[in-house]
Amino acid sequence: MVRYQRGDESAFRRIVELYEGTVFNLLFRFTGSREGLEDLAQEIFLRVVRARGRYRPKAKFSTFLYRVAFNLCVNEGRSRRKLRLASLDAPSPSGDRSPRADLPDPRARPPHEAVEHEEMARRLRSILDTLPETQRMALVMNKYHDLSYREIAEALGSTEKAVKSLLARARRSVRERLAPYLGGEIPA
Amino acid sequence: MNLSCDGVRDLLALHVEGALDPAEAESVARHLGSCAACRAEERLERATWRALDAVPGAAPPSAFAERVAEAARRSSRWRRILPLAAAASIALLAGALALRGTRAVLSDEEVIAHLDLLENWDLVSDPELAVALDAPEEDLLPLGGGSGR
Repeated sequence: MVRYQRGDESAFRRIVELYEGTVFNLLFRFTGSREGLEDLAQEIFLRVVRARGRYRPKAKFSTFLYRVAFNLCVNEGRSRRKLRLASLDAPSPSGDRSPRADLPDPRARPPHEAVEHEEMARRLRSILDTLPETQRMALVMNKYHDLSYREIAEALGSTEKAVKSLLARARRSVRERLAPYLGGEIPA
Repeated sequence: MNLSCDGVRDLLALHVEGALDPAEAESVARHLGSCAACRAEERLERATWRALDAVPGAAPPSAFAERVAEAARRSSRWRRILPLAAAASIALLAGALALRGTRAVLSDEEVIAHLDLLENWDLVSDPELAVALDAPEEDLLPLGGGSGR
């Protein structure tokens, strides 16, 4: 980012290449929909362009990017409720411009396990969609992006204590809603 | 600290992460030692965390970086052109008025033709703000210590 600020235009493309996977994973797990995902991801990077002159490297660039993503998701969320509620098996747009689901190779599982896995993914998606946006984003950042409480706090513009509380509530909600389906998987 | 079952269940996620402070951790551990139902809930918490692995991510489409870089170049060009175009329009308008020798009175047609410019002059005179029209200011600010809010 510092190179980009100094006028190295090629550095911006390098930023996108480095973080596009992170951004798509974050957005998809947060929204649960492929529709509009590329536009949202592009807008995040364009906001980096607009912030170019004002960015100060006080924190990790990735934390800054997560913050931009979170703010955009919350702002867009109000007009994109339908996306959040879309199911995982909604048909995706054709052509290679549509984001690709980063699903495990189905051949890696026996058929009955693959079906169970997909069923579990659908249940979890519908549970995640019921969480308040801030709880959902904190959970996604913690579970899938391995961010520390401090990093999540910086990304959400909050405190570590508040993030712990958010995560505790989010995880209890998910646990209680998933409990009826996990009976056989809990060791005594 | 004596915790109720409900209090313990609030803390289970942080307990399995090892994120509780020592006093809370000790209270939760003591409660779990004597409450089979909460021990089952603790196992459920661990199973839930593992189950969340089933939620898929998404990979970017091909050539995404190339398209974004092109959009950024277009955005930068527009950012340079916008204030110049606005200034030129204002200058033309002022010139037309001066030539007519009128006081600063515009005809209805002139007002309508330049309405957006007149309404947004403060905005277009600030190129960064103009380009970031749809971007809340707080989204663009860099992190200043992070947890201040």
